[in-house]
Amino acid sequence: MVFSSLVFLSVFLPLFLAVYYLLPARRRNLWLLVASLVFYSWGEPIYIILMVFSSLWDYLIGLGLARFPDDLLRRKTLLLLSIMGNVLVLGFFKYADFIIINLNLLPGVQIPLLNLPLPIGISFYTFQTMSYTIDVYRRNVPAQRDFISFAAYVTMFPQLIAGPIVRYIEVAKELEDRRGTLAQFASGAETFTLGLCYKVLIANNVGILWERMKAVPSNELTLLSAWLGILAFSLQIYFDFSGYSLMAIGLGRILGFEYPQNFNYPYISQSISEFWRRWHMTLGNWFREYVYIPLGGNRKGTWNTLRNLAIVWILTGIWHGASWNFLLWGCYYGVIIILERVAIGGVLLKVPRFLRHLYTLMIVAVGWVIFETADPGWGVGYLRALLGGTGFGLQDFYFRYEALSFGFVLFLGVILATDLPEKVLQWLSEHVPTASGWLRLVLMSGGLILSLAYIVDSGYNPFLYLRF
Amino acid sequence: MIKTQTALLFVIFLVLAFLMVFIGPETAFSEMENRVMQQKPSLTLDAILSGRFMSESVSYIQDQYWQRSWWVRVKNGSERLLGKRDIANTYLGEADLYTEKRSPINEDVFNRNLTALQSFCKRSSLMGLQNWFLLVPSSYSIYPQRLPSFAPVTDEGELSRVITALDSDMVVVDSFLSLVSSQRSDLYFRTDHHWTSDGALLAAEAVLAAMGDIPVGEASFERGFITGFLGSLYSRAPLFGVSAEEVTYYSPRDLVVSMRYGEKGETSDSLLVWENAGVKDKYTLFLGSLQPEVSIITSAESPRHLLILKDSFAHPLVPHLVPFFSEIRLLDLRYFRGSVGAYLNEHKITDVLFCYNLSWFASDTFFAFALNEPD
Repeated sequence: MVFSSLVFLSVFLPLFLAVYYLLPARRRNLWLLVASLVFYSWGEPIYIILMVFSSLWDYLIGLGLARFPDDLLRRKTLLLLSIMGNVLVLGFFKYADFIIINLNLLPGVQIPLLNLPLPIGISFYTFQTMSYTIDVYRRNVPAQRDFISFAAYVTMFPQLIAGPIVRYIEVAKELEDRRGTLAQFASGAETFTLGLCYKVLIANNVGILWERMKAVPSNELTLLSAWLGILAFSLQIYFDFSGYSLMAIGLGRILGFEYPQNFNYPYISQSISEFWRRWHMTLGNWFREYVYIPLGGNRKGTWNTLRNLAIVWILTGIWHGASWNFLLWGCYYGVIIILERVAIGGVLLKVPRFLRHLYTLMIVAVGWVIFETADPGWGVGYLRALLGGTGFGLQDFYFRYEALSFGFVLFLGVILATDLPEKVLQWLSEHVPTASGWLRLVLMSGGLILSLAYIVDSGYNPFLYLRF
Repeated sequence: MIKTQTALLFVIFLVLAFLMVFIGPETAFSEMENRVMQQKPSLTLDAILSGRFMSESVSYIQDQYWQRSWWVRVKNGSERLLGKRDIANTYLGEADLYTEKRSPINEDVFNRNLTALQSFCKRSSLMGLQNWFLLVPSSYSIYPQRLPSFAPVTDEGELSRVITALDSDMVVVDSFLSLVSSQRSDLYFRTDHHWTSDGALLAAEAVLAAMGDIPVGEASFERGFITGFLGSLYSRAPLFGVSAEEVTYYSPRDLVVSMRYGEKGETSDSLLVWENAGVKDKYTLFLGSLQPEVSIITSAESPRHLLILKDSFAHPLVPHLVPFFSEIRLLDLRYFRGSVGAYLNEHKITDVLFCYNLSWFASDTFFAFALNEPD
């Protein structure tokens, strides 16, 4: 089930919230767990077993760690078991076929593919459960003795499918005791609505343009078409992903949880290092907390720092998907971030602000081409088109048509990708509080109604014998 | 204060969103979408384990949502306000002028169709038959102003030049000039991709002139209309404020016809299928809808038997041809599963008329397959 569907908005969420708030506080984790399993089973009935197994495994390891507070060898073994369990599950379901395909390229190797569907959310919940056992091992947080509460944390539907990656330590207190105040509910509802609009009204819309540009052979694109296309994708992936995160954060808040922020206007960054502090922040935090720092971070000399950065970026790349282009994408950012650290960082500080901004956006745009490259020929062609090297000129009719069709939505997306709207709302709420309160309500009503219209429309499938 | 209202707004939204699944009558069939709607799924263990219950309930909620076509119009209207110029493969012109948006033609398919056409005409002219090809433009070729600016479309003039220049035993009649030079604005529907009876009349006159016949004039026809037509393009991209159209028809006054049509071979003494005047797709008033074959016996005193190989643009053309043929047969090669060559012999065909919309002909993947004779 996805949030931007009728079944979620019209049936699941109203029923879930009604029961949730009717139940006494101590029963709510159980209800959250049951509802999350129903939510998950709508798409993948079978893989529930995997998720329950994963929860049970780390729950037991947590108990074991609590049982042996002083036995370092046992503790290390338990931690290793937890990490191995999660990495194996993730590796098997996500990467097995990728490894097999590449092994089969060797002469004489012929392993049949597994063709397993990827369990939804597996990249997220394995990372979450690992955060639990690692933090219990480090004694940053006590082990959870109640299985229901622990399983509710792992399966929690708001962030189950696409994050943010909520570390156990961040919600440990709220799992035991959360209020769910009116203020939280109101703010959560607002955040959820904003995320819904991001996803349904902007991401899906500009996504149509990107699909069209991808349908044109990339070596036939004009210069401006190529840029229009990559602008569309940059906005699509941002509003899609950050929209989903906002919906998750909003839903969490409605239930009384405070999830960490996942995006902080990444496209206003002035360097790539800054971009990654603002983009998918919970993934970056996870790698920093559980990979980079344990490896020594930047405290063990230049070479070790560079090695650690390289490891983190290779992992970041491959985490996004089991194929070479994601690996390449991760390495691309790894190299640029290392370069910013050792060479160009100083230069960047001296150039005007808009140039720094331009530099960042160009790097990110090229990065998205790599990210979207399923076929190397297409990717190379697209990069050439971005440089105007296809021989099809600056622009054509097709560009003008699509630019006119999508211009306004793109413009809206660009504005919303900056912190300008938030600043304006902030200013309004300080200077004309009543009017700004009503404005927010009007915007929210409009957003909800329009989003619902788009969602209803997605099920509108005229079946026409158009040429009878 | 505002917090309470925000929370209340969200709760009201959820309650209404929930109610809209369950209020209102259940629809069994949607005329707008021309499909059967999902009914309440049955909740059994088997259905849950197989995932059928889940997928059916998703469809049920979508299909039975309260006033769903209103919601679709809200969405389409807002997209249009935001500057979108095509929705669901339909170009939105000014006001309620719709144009179909088609994918670019596939050169291979087009060439294959041309080759099949050439060899068919060669065979049939060896049998002593006359071959004609009526090219029907799409509405945008006649009314380019209905398109949004810079809209990418297939150049039908170019397709027409290729077909006309073809070395083959047939006479090509391009109706483009007749339609354009009439300077009338009602030759194509606003909300459907088809031409109107008046568009077809102009094309019929061009065909008859090429055949050496003299059109019998409007006086020999009863001209009437039915109202309330919202065409297939409207169904794809419904908008607020679109007014329904009239469907004009011509019916020969002094001639008796008997028509066999439809998949079950219904018979009628009119070229108009009156029970379709009440359905949503009122274009099916002309000879009905999906069918492999239509045969019409007329009281015209003529030795000539006409076979029309066609798409649906041919339907309103037929009344104007009736006075010149004692038999008119239409085959739709997408559904006809016999040998066209044998059909020519069996029904003593004297003239073959191809009647195709240019863009459709260039992308019809059935044409060559159905027309080629097995060796």
